[in-house]
Amino acid sequence: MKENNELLRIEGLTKVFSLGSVFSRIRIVAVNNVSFGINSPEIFTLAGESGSGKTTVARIILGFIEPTRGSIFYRGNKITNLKDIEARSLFRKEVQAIFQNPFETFNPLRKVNEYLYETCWNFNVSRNRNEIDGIIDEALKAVGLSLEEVRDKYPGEFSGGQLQRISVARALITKPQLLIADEPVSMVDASLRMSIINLFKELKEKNNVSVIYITHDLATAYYVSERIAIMFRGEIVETGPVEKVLMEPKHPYTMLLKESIPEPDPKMKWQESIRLTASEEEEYLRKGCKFAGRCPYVMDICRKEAPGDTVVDGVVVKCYLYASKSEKTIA
Amino acid sequence: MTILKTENLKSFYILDILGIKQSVMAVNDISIEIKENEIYGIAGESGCGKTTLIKTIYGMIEPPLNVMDGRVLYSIDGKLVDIFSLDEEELRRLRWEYVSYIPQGSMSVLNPVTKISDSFWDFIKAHSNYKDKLEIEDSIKEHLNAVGLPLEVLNAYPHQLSGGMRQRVTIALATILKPKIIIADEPSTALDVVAQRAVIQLLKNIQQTQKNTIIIVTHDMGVHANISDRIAMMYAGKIIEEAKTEEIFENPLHPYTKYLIRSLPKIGDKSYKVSAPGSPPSLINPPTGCKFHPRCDSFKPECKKIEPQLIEISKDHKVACLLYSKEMGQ
Repeated sequence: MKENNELLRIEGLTKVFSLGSVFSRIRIVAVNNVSFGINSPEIFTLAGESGSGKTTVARIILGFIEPTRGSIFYRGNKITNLKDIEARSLFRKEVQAIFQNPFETFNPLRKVNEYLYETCWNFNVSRNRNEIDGIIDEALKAVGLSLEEVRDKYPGEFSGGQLQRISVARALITKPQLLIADEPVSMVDASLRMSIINLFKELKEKNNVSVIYITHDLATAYYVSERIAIMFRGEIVETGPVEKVLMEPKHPYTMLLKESIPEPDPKMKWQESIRLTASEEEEYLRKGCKFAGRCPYVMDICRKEAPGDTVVDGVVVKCYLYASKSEKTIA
Repeated sequence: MTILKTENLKSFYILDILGIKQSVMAVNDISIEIKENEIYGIAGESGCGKTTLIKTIYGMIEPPLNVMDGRVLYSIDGKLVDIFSLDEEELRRLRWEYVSYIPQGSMSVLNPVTKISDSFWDFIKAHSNYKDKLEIEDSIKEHLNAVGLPLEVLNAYPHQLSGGMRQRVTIALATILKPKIIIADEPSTALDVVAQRAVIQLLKNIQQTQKNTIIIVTHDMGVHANISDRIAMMYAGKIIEEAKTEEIFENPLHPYTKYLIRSLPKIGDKSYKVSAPGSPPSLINPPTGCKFHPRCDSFKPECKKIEPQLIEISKDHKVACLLYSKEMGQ
């Protein structure tokens, strides 16, 4: 059932968080029935605002939190609730994470190279000190640094861009197949941001590394990735090739999101003003389509029942606007 | 007409680490002139001194920050007043009524244990001469209506509001006394794109109806393109280029501005983007001469020695780069 080059497959992932005390419990569905696959090699963007559940998806894939429902397959093997230690350690080795804030990734009181050596030992890359040095140097060279520059230095001696590159290098030591990068450039200075983004492109082209790029920045997403999924309040509302989703957005939320990006071009200023919801909780607890409260095209059915996936023009959209015109409706 | 002016402003952070004195030259010889009823944008990377500049302009000087040299002048009723000559009480009275400040990360500015309405009351009581309770209540409601916030927010606690709403409440607080100058430090940075748009549009609407001046600091060039009338680019504690927004985007002159504008990704554009080589300089020990020279692609030997001055190249377009001062015959 799976294609040969499919690296990761996520099916029906759901995570429910309970808030409040025993007496007034609210269930927040942070991730609701999310499914997607990653081919090898590709850069896949998971985009959305804060509170859309994109980081929760990443944390579930990495095994930091357990999903309420749903399964994750890596190279065809199910890795959730996995008893098979071998498959799990292969997954751990081949899937590496890069986090948002490089200043928080590294302990300021530890030398940066310790992290690199530690990764080598943890994953049993090699037992020979010289060989380890070689492997680390190679990983650092891939990101435009070298072991000489990094050795015996503390995180405070590097800029945010350099630290982020070191954390990419750390991830590369185990020769991963998939990088999960959660907002890797949002804390990096604008003038250095593109160097990290270009690094992902290079890794894909030269080393066949796939990347799940999690971001709220649609402009870099367009620049770097092939496919994109737009998340809103725990659901993927639109997914497809990046050119189609971002150039001709179908879901009203994607349209709003795209329009709201401040274009670095004074000729393309925003025109009309927009509405905000007073609280995020309200949208999470909404029945039916979560966007109905702000949608300009809202219909009666949107408030009653959640829309299913509809395929329009190669793009999967969760919206009733397309339900009648669709080629086929899933679910 | 000029509403705010700085003259050769220098403010440094003086650090004393184990007896070794170090100074962080965060604002290093900056002279700007801000006109009435304009939106003046200050752009630059993190750590280039933009927040220090506006803190100094606002007169919020607390150790280790020290003003080493220069003046900050506000134009109050047609007279230029040096804010460093005022005492604490006079400065306090200017705040919120004449100049207000929207701090960075103002999501956490509101007191979490008081209702929004209490915060409004506090502000008005401390800074204006209202006597009548009903009058204050009416003015709060009127202002909330004017900025398009629902009146229910008054009875809410900050945590019950979404980030965008909270930021709009802080903006409403900062503008309720109709200050002449609003200083906004990264007002939309912690927000999502949609909320960011709402906040920026709100600021612009307020500026248009209240006819005040906004100084907005953000590293996001997209936000500048949308709101600012003029932009000053900061790099390592200095202003390296200043021009109208259109001019900065269409005809950047300084090599750093060129790099920055060219590296901005846009939807619908997959062409290869490069970022500037190297990394931002340290403000404790900045490079000699032009601060950008170690990263510059049109670097010449004299860039290491001579510090370029900000000079006007064409109308309203100033740049600090030897490439251009040479052409001017200086």
